[in-house]
Amino acid sequence: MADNLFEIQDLCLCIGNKPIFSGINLNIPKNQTTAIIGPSGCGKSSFLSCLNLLITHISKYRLVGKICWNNNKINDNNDLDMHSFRRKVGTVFQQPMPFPTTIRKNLSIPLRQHFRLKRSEENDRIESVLKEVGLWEEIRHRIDHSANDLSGGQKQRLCLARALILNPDVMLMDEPCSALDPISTQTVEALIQKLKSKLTTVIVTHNLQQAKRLADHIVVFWFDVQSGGYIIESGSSEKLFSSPEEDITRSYLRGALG
Amino acid sequence: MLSLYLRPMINPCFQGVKLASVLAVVAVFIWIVGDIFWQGLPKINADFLFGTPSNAGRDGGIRPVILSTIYILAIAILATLPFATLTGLFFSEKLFPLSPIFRPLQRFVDILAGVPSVVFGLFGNTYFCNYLGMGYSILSGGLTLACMILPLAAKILQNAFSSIPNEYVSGGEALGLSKFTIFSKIMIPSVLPQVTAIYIICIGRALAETAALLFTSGYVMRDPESLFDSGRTLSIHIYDLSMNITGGNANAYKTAFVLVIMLLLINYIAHITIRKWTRLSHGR
Repeated sequence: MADNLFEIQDLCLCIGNKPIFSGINLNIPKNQTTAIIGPSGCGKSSFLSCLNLLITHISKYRLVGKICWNNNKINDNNDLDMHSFRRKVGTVFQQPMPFPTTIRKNLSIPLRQHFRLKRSEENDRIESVLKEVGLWEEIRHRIDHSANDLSGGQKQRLCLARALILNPDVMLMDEPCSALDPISTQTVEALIQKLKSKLTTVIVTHNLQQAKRLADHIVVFWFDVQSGGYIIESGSSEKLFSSPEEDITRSYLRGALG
Repeated sequence: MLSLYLRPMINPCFQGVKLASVLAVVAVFIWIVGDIFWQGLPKINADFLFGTPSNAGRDGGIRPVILSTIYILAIAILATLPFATLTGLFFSEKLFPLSPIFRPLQRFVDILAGVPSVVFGLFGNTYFCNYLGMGYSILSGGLTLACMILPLAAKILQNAFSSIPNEYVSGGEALGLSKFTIFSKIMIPSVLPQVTAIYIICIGRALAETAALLFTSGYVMRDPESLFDSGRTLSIHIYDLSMNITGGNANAYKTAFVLVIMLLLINYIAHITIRKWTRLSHGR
């Protein structure tokens, strides 16, 4: 039985009285890839935002339940050091949006926030993370140019590098390839595959084939008007894609629903 | 039926009206600037720029007036930018949610932006000159101008901060960046072009202002030795020469020429500086 990085118990997120999702119970095992799939509007991205507590401090949202990180409750925890927690939880969003500055500064800003490094160490770290995401050869001569000049795929890899440079324990990815063309998607997917061995990854995706290719575990979200989003089924990727237990899951995987 | 015959004429008519509007605007600009250049340029020399005024401003130069203008302008800009930036950030709700109690304050800022400058002059006279004991001084004038410019600058910066994509802020928060880092390293570089706009608006309004300064910085035409000295700006000098001094029109035109050149020069320098700053910050 694998150790769990996140343990989620009876989690419910509401805006006012309207539930976004409710009754979520889920364990996310360490050093494995968990894919969250389901139709639009069922609360997958909101759920992901709860894991790094991005949504919980916004006053209009109300979060009930328990999110444990390495057996420590992190929501409603005043003792939690938010900055160091977020350093360990890398996040990649749907839209590749590097900061409006140079490629180097995109990486050095988070690095300088969390570590005190000499200039040479900082440069080494930037070079190594850009090599890890396969960008170094493409941009080494224009590292001091604007990050906005990069292509969509390059921007998304830079956003990945921006999170990876902080040595996170987990990577949360919210449809990281949805804004990319097939070739860029392939590059980013290959990178996620490479990271699988050393990181826990949680990926939200609409692409079922991508979920099948990347994930060890699959969580299927569904939606009804009264309770908002909820988990209809979860399990190992192999089992869920070959013999799902629920009819809705079967129909969804077949493309007849959602 | 008639509309069918008229339809082919609509586009040429629209084009004609458009062109006439553009020509009218350009003509007014050329007329004003041309008149100032025509009357002012031939008589400009180094003595006028670097000399001191005499005979109530009819003769001599305008060095003290230029110096006072630069000082008042610098005080107004330095006092405006930090307050406008923080007020704009506060109302934009990008980094900190705005409590409903503070929402009506936005309306006050809007109203303040439309208050006539003479009212700011009266306020500056009462508060800075009398209550704080600064008297008629460059400092009183600069701070009064800052109060006058602040609401407009804050509004422009609020809109600028609001237009920053949420992904920049949430991306920064997701990386565990402090709010100050997000503000200084991500948000400020994003709004640099708007900062240029504010810079230019501040300069334009400060150089053109007379009403607010008549009550606060005073009329004195000698070299200012400190910020607590009274000093007149170029626009007050023009007003005084053309309205109060018989035979002062020639020097008024020369001063107006200097004012226009100064405005163009400062705008150009502001553009160049911000462009370089943007390039440094955003990358080549």
